[in-house]
Amino acid sequence: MGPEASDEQLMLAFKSGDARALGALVGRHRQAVYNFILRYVGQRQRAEDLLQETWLKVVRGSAEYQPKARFTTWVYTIARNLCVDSARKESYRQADSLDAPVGADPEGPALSEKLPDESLAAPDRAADNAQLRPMLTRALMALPIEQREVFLLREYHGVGFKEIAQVTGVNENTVKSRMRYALEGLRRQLLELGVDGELLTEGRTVASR
Amino acid sequence: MKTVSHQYEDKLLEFAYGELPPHEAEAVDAHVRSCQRCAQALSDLRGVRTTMQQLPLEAAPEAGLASLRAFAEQQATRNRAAVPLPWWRRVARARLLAALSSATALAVVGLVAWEANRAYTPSPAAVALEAQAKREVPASPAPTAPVSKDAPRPGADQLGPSPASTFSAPSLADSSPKRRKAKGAAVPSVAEPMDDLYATGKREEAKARAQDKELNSGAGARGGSGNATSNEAGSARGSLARQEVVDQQVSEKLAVQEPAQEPMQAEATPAPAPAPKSLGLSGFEPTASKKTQRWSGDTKTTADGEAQGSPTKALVEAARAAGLKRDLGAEVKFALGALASGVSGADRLEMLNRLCTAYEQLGEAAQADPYCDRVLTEFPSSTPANAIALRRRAVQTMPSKAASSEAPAAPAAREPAKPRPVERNQ
Repeated sequence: MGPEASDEQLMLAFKSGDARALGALVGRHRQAVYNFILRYVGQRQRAEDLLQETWLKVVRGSAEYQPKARFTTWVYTIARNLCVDSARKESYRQADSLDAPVGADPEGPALSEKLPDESLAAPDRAADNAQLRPMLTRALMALPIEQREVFLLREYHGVGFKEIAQVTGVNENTVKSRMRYALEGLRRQLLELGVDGELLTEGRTVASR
Repeated sequence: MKTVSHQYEDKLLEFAYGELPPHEAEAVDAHVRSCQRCAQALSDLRGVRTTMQQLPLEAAPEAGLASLRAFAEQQATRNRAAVPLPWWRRVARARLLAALSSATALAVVGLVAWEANRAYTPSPAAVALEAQAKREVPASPAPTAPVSKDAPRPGADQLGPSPASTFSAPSLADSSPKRRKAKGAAVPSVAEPMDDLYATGKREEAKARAQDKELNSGAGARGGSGNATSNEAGSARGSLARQEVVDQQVSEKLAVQEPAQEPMQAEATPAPAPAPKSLGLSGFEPTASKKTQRWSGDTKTTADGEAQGSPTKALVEAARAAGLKRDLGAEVKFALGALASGVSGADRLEMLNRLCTAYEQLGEAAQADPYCDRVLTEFPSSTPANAIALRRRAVQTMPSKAASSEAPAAPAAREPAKPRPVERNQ
């Protein structure tokens, strides 16, 4: 199975007993899935756990895998559901202890506040990213979760609207509507944070995919 | 990005993400050029995208990769065996396997019996007959309770050779009772025990056997039958066969009192025909029974510690083979059999882990748990233990709802775990 094999072909290869095929899939998507989860739950430790659970599920589900949908749709569905459950538990947990540390908040502040400090992020592509990143993260984390998940999947993971509808279990129109709100919300946030002007304008020339 | 009102506004989002079919994209593009409002909306949208694209991806943690790989390899092995067959063929194969294993069991029993009765040279017809009889044996409860020394002696009257409970060995002997009986007198050492037992339903055998005496002394100790003969392989086999018969009877008896507890052991059987010699007199040692008891919880421990060595190994291998073929039912069966027969060390770990994972795959978590627990407690630092711990963690964090994300769990065959009468051990 060459490097050009599709995800689905790899998954079928794994289904038929080729362990390396799964290795290839992990190589292709693990980082992206991790980032999706991280930006969903906002906490590294939980994200790591959920990442592992996601792949274990992929492995476990391989025997029944059918290439009905794209592999990524399937993986993100698994990951997203795990995130939903995790967030729900987390909210129960917090409801129980009012004095829970702020950082435990599944949405909002946690990631945006922690990221800059931990500064463990990738060696940057541009110096100005160092200042920009925390703001972008904050803007992102400020989105309501149902908008954020749609935005993440579409913007960072190349999942189409129709597939996002499958992943999230709502209809396509709802997905698009959430996406519009997400984009609008981000725009407002960025403006408030002072990320505007050049950046947003500069975007015009590069943005279209 | 306001709302509707504009006919193309709805399309801007898809347009910006390249999801419109070419002709629609062209139309939108043309429109945007001439529409200030849409141009602005599109520009805003693209601006946000461009900005947000600057958020870099973080590297995924290395943690978990190794165990994921190990788990994947394990699964790949299962997958390999499972894949090519469509479900109906899988079912067919499972049946075939079951049939084969019972056939094997038959063959083994047949061989033992044949050896035992060599003098008589049973005709093929007799063997066929017995095979048939065996097939017809109705489901009988899987017995096996440890035969304690003071286990009640089965009364001959109650236990008579009812067809329903007859086992392969007995039935074999049965195929030509009269002839055997007659000959039995002539060739006492080997054949007689079986015939005798079967024909008369003497339970002394059982008792004697429970006490290990007979085993240790070969064919000897049998009240009255007086086959003091020998240490030869032949007699060892004879005693083995006899013992099996006894076990059978004892278990039947016990089964009456306490309904099947351990599905497993029964099926495990086939392979085992222990090498006569090793088995014979020395095979039935303390070690064996000790091991058997280790499996405490289940009352199972068949009285025959005797077959310990090779049969255990054979069961381990059978479980392995079933695992490779992804025949979960058989895997469970053999693994249980191996455990019941006192498997130890690495094989034990393997059997426990097989039960843990096979039951999980069968969707029977409740069944799987005790075995998973044993892996965790008995072999805490093993790879399987780690994998189990990981899986558990995974399961904990994702309850019911994630179900939708998973490939439909195959609630596959549950039956295999149950003892099938015909395959019972001989």
